[in-house]
Amino acid sequence: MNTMSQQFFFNPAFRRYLSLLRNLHELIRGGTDETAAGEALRDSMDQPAENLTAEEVECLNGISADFYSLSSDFEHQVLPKTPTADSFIRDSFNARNVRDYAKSMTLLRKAQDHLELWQLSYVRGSILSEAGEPLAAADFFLKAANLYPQNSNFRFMWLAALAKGSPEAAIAESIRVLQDPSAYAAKFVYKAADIAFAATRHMDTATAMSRTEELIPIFEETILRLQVSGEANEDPGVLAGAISLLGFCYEHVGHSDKALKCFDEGLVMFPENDALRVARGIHLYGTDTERSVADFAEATRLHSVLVWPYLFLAHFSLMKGQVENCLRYSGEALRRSRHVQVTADCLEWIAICQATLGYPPSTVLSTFDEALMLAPDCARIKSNKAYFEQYRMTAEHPSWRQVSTDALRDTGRRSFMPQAA
Amino acid sequence: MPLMYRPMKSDNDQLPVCGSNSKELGVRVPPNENADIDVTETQTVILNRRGMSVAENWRSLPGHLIPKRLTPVFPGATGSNSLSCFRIGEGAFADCNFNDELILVLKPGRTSKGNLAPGREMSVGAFQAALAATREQWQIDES
Repeated sequence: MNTMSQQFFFNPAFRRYLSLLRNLHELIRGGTDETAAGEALRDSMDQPAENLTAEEVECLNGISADFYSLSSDFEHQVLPKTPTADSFIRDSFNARNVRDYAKSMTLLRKAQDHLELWQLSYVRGSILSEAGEPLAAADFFLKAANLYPQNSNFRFMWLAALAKGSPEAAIAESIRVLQDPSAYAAKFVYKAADIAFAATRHMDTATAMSRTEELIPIFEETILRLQVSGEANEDPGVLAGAISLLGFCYEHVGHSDKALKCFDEGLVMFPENDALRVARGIHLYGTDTERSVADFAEATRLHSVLVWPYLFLAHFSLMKGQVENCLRYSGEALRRSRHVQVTADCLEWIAICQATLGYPPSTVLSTFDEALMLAPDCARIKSNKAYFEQYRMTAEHPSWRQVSTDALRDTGRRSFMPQAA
Repeated sequence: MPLMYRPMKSDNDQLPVCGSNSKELGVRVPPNENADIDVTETQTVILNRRGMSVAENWRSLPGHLIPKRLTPVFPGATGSNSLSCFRIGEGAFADCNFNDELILVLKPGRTSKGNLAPGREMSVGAFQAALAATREQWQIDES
């Protein structure tokens, strides 16, 4: 059963107030809050505050106190650990594990005097990140990174959180980092290159091609540095991610053979890495589909959190007329999908399977409608729904319009990210 | 008269600033997008329990309403330092008459937040004057 505080981060007024509170603390840190802009910002907080419960107000006031620790002149004296403090820390982690982020933040505050500020900042960032507050999380990760620069993970987490909360700021930061990659830890450069590569999806073809070509030597050097520095031993997923993205870069610029070699070598190093399996699977889909499907199947055996292996296997099953398999894989893909069009595609395939398996027409139409709500302009889904309605009248087998193998592979190549995050 | 608190801008005489801006002794009026009351075309206040926000205790308020100089005692305070926490009255915080002109009404579903609202039909000007007339009864209490 959910506790009351588990619901705080689901309240739009709570989230809105937290976002404005973060902005206000930025002004306070900059010494510019006693201005007309500061007053206007505070006025804008009145409305969300009206819709908060007393408990939510108490929680937000606590987080506000936490924000003060981001100030450069914040003084923090660390006391020796005590059994009580350890107990609060444990309880805080337990609360986070059951997604009671408000309680987790509160319990951590009770032990704050017994933790180094970098530790406190990192844990606060982690809790807020899981609570779906990437910008607030980014502030705390950056504080941890500044206090403890030897740990490259903090700056990595900061950039990852920034990418979620403010993609433009993350791209700008990534461009800055990639101008002098050797000045930064390899893991951080990997994240910057990952963000820069993802940004090419929104560029015209020529610009994207040119940018991808620039990223290839950066990924190559980063992979080498990850191996030499030992960072890869601490976090093998980062190295595997870098290898998979290098493979995609090669593929994007037309070096299919180099891409395959990259994926193959990566899988020799990390045979159990689902992201690399998926990357190679996408690369081979339509050209060596048997091997591609084997990679996707292996990724599902590894319980991949990525949507792609399930989506491709659903597509493959549909093309082969294996509707039960398609239904199962579409359902799995649906659970993992974070893309509107992918979700719509899954729902469409489920509708087709339902139609083929003789589900009641109302069920099939309802599933088609769900898909169309997400992708109202998708001509293919509209057409398949129309086919189904016609099929009901004539009792003839509908001729479904399918997503082509090439189109699906292109979607996978464009949208693949090594981590689900 | 119920005991209630309200953070407001403080004047040189340590009493609240009267006016129709936020954090003043008075209400914001349409077309202000953050208006505290609804009014008719003839500038009469609509009696719908809206009015000037007050609280049972300043410590139950969101931090942006509490002056940030109070962070030693209220660590989440982020309000402007031009504000002070004012107190008035001494009775229980519940729906009741405040004086001949004004009533305290609790906000829906809340026991520690309310509005000081008109007790009878009156113009916006009369309501603002009724609120301003309480000025000398407010005193700073940040304890």
